[in-house]
Amino acid sequence: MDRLTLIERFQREKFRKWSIDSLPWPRFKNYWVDFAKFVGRQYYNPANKPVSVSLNLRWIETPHPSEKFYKQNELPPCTKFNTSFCYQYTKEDFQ
Amino acid sequence: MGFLVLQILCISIGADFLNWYGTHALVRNSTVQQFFWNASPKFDLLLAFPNDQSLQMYFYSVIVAAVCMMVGFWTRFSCIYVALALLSMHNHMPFNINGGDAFVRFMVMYLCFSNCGDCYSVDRWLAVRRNGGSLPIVAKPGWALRMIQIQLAIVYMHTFICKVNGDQWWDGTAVYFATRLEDLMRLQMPLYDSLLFCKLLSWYTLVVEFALFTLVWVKELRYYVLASALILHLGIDMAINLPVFEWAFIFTLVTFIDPEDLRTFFHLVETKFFGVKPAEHKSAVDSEAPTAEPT
Repeated sequence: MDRLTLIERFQREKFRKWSIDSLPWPRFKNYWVDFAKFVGRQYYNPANKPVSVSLNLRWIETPHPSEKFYKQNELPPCTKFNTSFCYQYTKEDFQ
Repeated sequence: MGFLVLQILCISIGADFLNWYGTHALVRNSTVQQFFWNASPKFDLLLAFPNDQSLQMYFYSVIVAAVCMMVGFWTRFSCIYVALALLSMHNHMPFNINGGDAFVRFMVMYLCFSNCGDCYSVDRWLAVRRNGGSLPIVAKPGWALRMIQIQLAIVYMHTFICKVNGDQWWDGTAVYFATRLEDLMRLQMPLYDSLLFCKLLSWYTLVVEFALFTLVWVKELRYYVLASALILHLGIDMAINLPVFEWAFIFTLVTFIDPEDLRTFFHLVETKFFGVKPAEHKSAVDSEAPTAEPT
């Protein structure tokens, strides 16, 4: 989201809601397969078929301002990394 | 409210309607029914449409209904149509809605029971034309409006209670953390780089939200509370990217404004911008007149 313009962020807020507030978290694991198949269909190319997809979360905890105060434009980089899920495609996924 | 619904439909959903609600959506509705609905029935008109073309046509019809709702044409019918559509869409795909979407859905449902099309609307304009150029505005029971006010107060009470049960709002760091959420940031302002300012804003939020379910009912204090709420919501809207959220609350706060004050405001607007002479303004609302002189 931080790479999008103000207008793009306004338009794509629903995707942010889904992909950051909902999708990566374990209680949404029942929906991961459907979403993986959707992504595969979106990027399907018969000459270069998708093999797998993984959802990765990059994040960092903002410390309490009494420990370290960060200005808005000097936030620490998201150096922590989690893989929420990985899905291997099958032929049936693209039929 | 029709304008906000249009914004949701045309901008936030827009060309991605089928990605969210189509037969090949990013999450199949059968999966939603199994794991979110827990196999219990929920209201969902979208299930009646067998393919993407019919779903797309239904979406366009909802946009038309939202336009009608906004301009006050077939107002009650369009409110009902939009309310049922929002309920269906939220049940069909529950993972892309935030508190603002849910609040708009509630408000549109209350509007179905209100007389929102009776005054400044296309319906009224047509009724006046049918009546030969004049039609008194009749006062009607305002219980739907009262329900909206009570719902709003409950929302503020709930959010206040949730806030005071944590530490961040008490120690004033809540606004600091909120303005450091990169995916939600809108406008960066130097003032948010001041911890003191963030603390003051955090405590201001608590005070205003407390007042919005308590002091707002005191007539002498109401307009001060509403003005404070307007500042709060505009400030949040500038800092945080939640497209409909703050404006839904701002528009709903209008229900607390005295009708006579609203009428005075609109008369001022009509005089200044549309050249209507003061003498041409209709007199105060006529209550429903008795049909016979009392004996």
